[in-house]
Amino acid sequence: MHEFPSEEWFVELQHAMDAEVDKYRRLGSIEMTLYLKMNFDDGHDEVYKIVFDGYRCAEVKRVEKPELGPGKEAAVLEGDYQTFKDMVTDIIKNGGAGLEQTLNYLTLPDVPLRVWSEGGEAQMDVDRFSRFNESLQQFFDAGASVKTKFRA
Amino acid sequence: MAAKYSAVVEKTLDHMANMRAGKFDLSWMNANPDGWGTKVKASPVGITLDNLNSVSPYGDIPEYGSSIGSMAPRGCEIPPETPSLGIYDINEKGLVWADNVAKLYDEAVARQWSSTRDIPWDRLEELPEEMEKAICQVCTGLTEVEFIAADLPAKWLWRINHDFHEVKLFLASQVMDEARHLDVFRKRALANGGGLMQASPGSENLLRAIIEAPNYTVASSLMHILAEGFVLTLFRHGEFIAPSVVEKKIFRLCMQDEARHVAYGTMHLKYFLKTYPERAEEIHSILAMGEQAIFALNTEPQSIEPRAILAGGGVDNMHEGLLKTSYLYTKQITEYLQRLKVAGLDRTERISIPIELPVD
Repeated sequence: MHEFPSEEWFVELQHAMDAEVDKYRRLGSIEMTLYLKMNFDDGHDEVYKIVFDGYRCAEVKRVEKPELGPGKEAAVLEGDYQTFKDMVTDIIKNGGAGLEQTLNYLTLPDVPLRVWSEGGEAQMDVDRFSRFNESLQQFFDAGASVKTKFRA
Repeated sequence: MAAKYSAVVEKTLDHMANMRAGKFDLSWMNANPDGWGTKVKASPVGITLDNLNSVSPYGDIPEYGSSIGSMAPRGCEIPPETPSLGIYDINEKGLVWADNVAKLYDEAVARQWSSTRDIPWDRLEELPEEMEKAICQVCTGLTEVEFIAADLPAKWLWRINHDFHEVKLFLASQVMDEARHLDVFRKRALANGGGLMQASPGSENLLRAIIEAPNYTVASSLMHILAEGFVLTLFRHGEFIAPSVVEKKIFRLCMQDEARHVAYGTMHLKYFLKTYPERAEEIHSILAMGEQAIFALNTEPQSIEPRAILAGGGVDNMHEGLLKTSYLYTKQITEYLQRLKVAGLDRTERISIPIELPVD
């Protein structure tokens, strides 16, 4: 059982991606770093760094803050913990994100989740979220098979 | 007595006779000594265009394409008798280049998909007639506009000097992407008991402006940044309002392709303006015209009403749907202006259309 959110939980997604190289090879290479920034009711936040390189997830790490800017190829997916929890709950329940819990659905209106970046080419990095969206969705959908306990 | 064959054929037969006699030319084996001994190192995903371009002389991209004007590949030895084809008239790097174009081509090739194989057509769901009509109208509109984004690169691609093959390859991949988009939206319209609905006069006006653009960069700015930037948001919205996993998948896969085209257009304009800063006004004026055409298109009944029906959940809830989708237009404008800023063109104060849609 892995707690959500935790570095271990995201490492499980990394392992799931490694185990399905052929699927991700077919979807195409990904060049981006996605930071998940979860804001908790008590005012603290947690940031998880997920580095995609080619057909694999190269790194998963909890970090203090996102590293953004030119050459970083990085964007932040930010929102309340409860929204992330609802998304993962739905993925577990349905074996993948339902119609109203996909990454695109949750981010298009900039609420409840928002994709952003910084620096002179920030929009280019935000657009990476669209460029690799199907791969990112499948990466998170793999959460359906992670034995998960949610933080109280 | 007249010769049996032409001079060209006779010369070739003589050459073959020499070969039969063991007299080979073999001069080509000494060609291009500077390019021999190359061993490109593969990246973890395989050998990419960027890998190739990391070695000289093959990766030396000239500011001005070869004056030979042939199809000879960049980096090879070109015999002096090689004829010019005389057809390439886009010969300056600054007119076509983008620093991300090689990477985007490899990405495009790796992310190809099939509208036949990769869409779960067996999971289509029967919809209320007004909802099916709405999704069919959305698909009709997208089928209509998608192929401009294939016709346009096809119109310019063959005129680009072969020394900029990365750009030609990327544009070729875009032609395939757009073909697939036309294909998948037509399939969706015909697959679930509906059919194609009504064409859009507003679209045709915008498409005419794009296809008749006077030069490549003007055309690219109109299409890659303005039109495809707007369509990228529409694809994202298509995923948002999709009534089943089938449409979700279609729009997610299309948005990936569209975002690549926008990424090229943005970085091409950046390169162009860095090379020709004095031509910024030319881009401003074509975009001002394009903005007005896309504004008219966005608010045409065939375009806005079916989205309002899908967002609201039916004809009776269209106004609610309209309110729910009003943020879309603002998002389109905001992201468009941001991409132009990345390219080095600030239109914040010069934009020729409202930045919010008056729906309240």
